[in-house]
Amino acid sequence: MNHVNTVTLGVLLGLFTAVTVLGFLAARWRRAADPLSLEQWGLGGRTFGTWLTWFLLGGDLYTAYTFIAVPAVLFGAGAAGFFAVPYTMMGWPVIFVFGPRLWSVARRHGYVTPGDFVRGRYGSRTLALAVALTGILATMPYIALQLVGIQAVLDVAGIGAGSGVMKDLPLIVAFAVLAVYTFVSGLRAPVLIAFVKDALIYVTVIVAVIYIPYRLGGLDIVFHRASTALHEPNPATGEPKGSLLIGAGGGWAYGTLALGSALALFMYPHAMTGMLASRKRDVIRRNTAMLPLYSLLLGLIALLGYMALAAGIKPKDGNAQNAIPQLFATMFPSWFTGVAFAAIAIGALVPAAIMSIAAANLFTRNVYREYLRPDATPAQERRVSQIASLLVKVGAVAFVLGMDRTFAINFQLLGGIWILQTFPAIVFGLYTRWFHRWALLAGWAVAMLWGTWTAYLQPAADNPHGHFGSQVAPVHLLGLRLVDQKVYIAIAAFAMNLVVSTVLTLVLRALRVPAGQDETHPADFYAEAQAEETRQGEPGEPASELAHSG
Amino acid sequence: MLLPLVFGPWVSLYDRLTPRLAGVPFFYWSQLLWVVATAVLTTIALLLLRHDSHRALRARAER
Repeated sequence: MNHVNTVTLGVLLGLFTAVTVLGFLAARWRRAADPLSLEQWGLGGRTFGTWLTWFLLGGDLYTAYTFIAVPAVLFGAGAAGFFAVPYTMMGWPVIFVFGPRLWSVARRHGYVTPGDFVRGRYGSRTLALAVALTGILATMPYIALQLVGIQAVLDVAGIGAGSGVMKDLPLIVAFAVLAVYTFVSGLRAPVLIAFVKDALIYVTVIVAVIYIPYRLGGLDIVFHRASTALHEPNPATGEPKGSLLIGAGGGWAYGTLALGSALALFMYPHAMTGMLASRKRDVIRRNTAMLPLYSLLLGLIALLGYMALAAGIKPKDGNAQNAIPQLFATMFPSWFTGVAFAAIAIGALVPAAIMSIAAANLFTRNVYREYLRPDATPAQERRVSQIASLLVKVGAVAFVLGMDRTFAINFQLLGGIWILQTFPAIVFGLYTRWFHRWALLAGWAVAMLWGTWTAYLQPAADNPHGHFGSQVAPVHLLGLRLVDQKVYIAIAAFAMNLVVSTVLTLVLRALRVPAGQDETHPADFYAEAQAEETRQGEPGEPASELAHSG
Repeated sequence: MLLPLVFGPWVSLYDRLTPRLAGVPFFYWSQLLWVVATAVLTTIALLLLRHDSHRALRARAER
């Protein structure tokens, strides 16, 4: 089992080395006048144009884990895994509408994180802290899962499959290298590397979806064989493993999963980082028209799961995550397998770097500067963020190596439920100050607790006494069976969040509880980059009256 | 812009095998087609918005 294909490994290591050099060179790329500030390190100086933003957001949101996990679900359970396609598809129109507003207000006020915006809009550092901590908590397991993606590749490549320290060494080395160049280059490193990553991924996937069905005898044979394989009974439950279709009873789950994930997508701090780093307001909109290309790619990647089924891949250790790397190793010549593996491994590094930067920015802005050191200089902020990004990565490695892999996966499912609960404070806040800050905080707290608890109660598929077995559940509240169809827990919690926020806002407003200072101005939400300098001199702008409307 | 958001969660609409396209069941190719449609619709919205803002700028300049 542990044979190492030297050609594959050589190509993999060669590409990895090239990317590392690029990561260090990135520090010199587009060097700015104030290289010491957090804006430079953590947002690349907000200078990225349409193409760079496209690579950044694409590299950021379509992660290596996605490339491994989505086809793994189709491989293991059939059509349900395809929800990733409508999910990413629906995400873009949402961004089209609110992304530019967030960009403008962040540009005008120098916000780096979603927490910064909430702080400025509601004048509540507690609510900002809640948003920031949710972001950090939801991002951590996401980073850990990138490591799981690399592990799958290394496993199949034959390195890192031994025991003890030798097993984990390649992974630790890969992450150490990543940590160092992120520390030095900030957001510029992953953006440059994203070029390489995306080129590799596109080549790999296009070759795979043409070449593999050709080897297997055509797409209809792929689907036919996959369908047969899915109908075989699962040894644990005796039920068929899955189907090519969702079937009755699964529609709500599929739909709410797609919708909930789409709404949550841009609540993730790393997605916001990607948006805020763009140079112009228009760049975000243009990107939402171009980014669906990645969704198309994702759909094709998902189908690789069926190809693995049709090819009769028996995943190593019974772990479906290994199915795709094994499919590549079986189908492709050695050198191209190396390219494909490099695509996945590098594809893990880019999002891991951006996520750790985003989490570090949250910590620096909304915890360190807010609570520990209010008078921090930009240089100090950058330094703290650099160190925090290191700690986040060390934490992720420890997480993956020290704990069960399923723990990271469960945690990440929870992350999706959690992060959606920051939606009201952020997105509604872009349009209205009607919601009361304490009501939003209460809605967030209720939804977080209920969502976590409900997810905890879901028994695992192979163990009725297990927990976190499913992202979907019927909605039962206080003994009432509100919705019997299974729905995505995040959506149910989100509905609860809205109800609590609305009712409490009415109450708090009636009681005239102070709503806090709003430092934003209605025009801020439309601001363009170049308007900054001219704004001061513009006559007739009712800035002073409206600024305190809260 | 709303179309994809309506279509996406409405699963029963596309949860079927036929008609197949080049051997691919309807469920799969229709969703991929929707991805393309979303991109096209977004581009149209983008162009409309830009057209509007240009007109507004021109109107202001003429005044």
